[in-house]
Amino acid sequence: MTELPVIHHRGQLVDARLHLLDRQLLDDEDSPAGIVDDLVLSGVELDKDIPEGTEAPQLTSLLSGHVVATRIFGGGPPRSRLQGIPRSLVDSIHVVVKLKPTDMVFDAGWMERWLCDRVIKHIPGGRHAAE
Amino acid sequence: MENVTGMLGPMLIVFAVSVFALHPNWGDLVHQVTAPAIPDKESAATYWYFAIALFGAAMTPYEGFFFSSGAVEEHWTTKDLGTARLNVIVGFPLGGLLSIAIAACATIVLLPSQIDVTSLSQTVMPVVAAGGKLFLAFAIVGIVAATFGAALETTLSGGYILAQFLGWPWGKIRRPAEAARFHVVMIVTIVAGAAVLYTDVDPIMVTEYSVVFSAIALPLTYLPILIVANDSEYMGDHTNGRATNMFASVYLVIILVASVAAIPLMIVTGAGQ
Repeated sequence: MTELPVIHHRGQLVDARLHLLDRQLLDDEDSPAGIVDDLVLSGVELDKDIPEGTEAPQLTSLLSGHVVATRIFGGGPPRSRLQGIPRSLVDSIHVVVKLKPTDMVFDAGWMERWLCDRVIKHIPGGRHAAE
Repeated sequence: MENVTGMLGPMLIVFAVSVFALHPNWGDLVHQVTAPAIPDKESAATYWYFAIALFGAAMTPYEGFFFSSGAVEEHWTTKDLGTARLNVIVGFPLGGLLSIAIAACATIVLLPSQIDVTSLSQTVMPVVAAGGKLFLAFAIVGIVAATFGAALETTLSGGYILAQFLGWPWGKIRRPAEAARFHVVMIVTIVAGAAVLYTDVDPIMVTEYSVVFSAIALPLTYLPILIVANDSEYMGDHTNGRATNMFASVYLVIILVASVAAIPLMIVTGAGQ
């Protein structure tokens, strides 16, 4: 393994695999919005060499979505199964990734809605808040 | 709810009181502790198999999920460190003491009569012998609280693990309708657990297997917690000191040995038969 160059810079150094992938996403009210399943980088194309002197790729968005099967059995879900969250929405990256206030609706998916409508809402107390 | 069970669980202290009320031959009891004799029909492997089972029962791997998730839900801060420490320093030794008391009660009353414990109700027989109905009442409340509390912990832990791993909304403070998958997982867990008991399987055997598998899985939760405890991103100024890490490393070795030895011992002893 070759040593990576040490680049001094200001700000927070983030290792994508260590600090971003698989971290929980919380919205501005600290409610879970998903986990970071994948990242979208600009200026990088799959299977193509990057010519010398190209500008460093930038993180454009985080991807989150329907991952139950692939997290258990491996592989990655198709892009259509993932929801993109623009980088500008990211408030902070710490032990969890916090998002800024937004109108964006985080798609919990049909499973959550179906279980909620068909099962949980019919159970007494299913819609009540805990005391 | 889990606080109520936590308050009532210590009623099991009646087992410790019973040990004294039974007026045992203390010298004999101490001798049995310091020089344990393995029965002729059992091997040393059986002894160590049950030692690992006890170890797994005391150090259940899902505790970490239960406590850490509870801490997130109840917005613990560094101010709550004191309470957490008290839990560990008082709570765990108390639990250990109660386990020893239950074992001592069994040794004093059941062992001389050659009674093999095959159900939970038999473990309270020494308490009845020591203090009659009153002691029995305490023991029943304590056992109900302890088993009910354990059921709550395991069920919630199952929900926490899956929901956090898969990025679902979770939490017992959330309306069930706002965390549907989390709550469905818990319902399914309870139904599956009850279904297992409705088969004719021996509950003691199920417990034995589950605590041995707890011991096997233990390094998988112990090591990540040890790593996080040393990560200032999570812990701020409260990362482990050198002494703690030294003890923790020694403990890691013990846990690894128990984990690796569990399955071979299970095969050699035919699961302690």
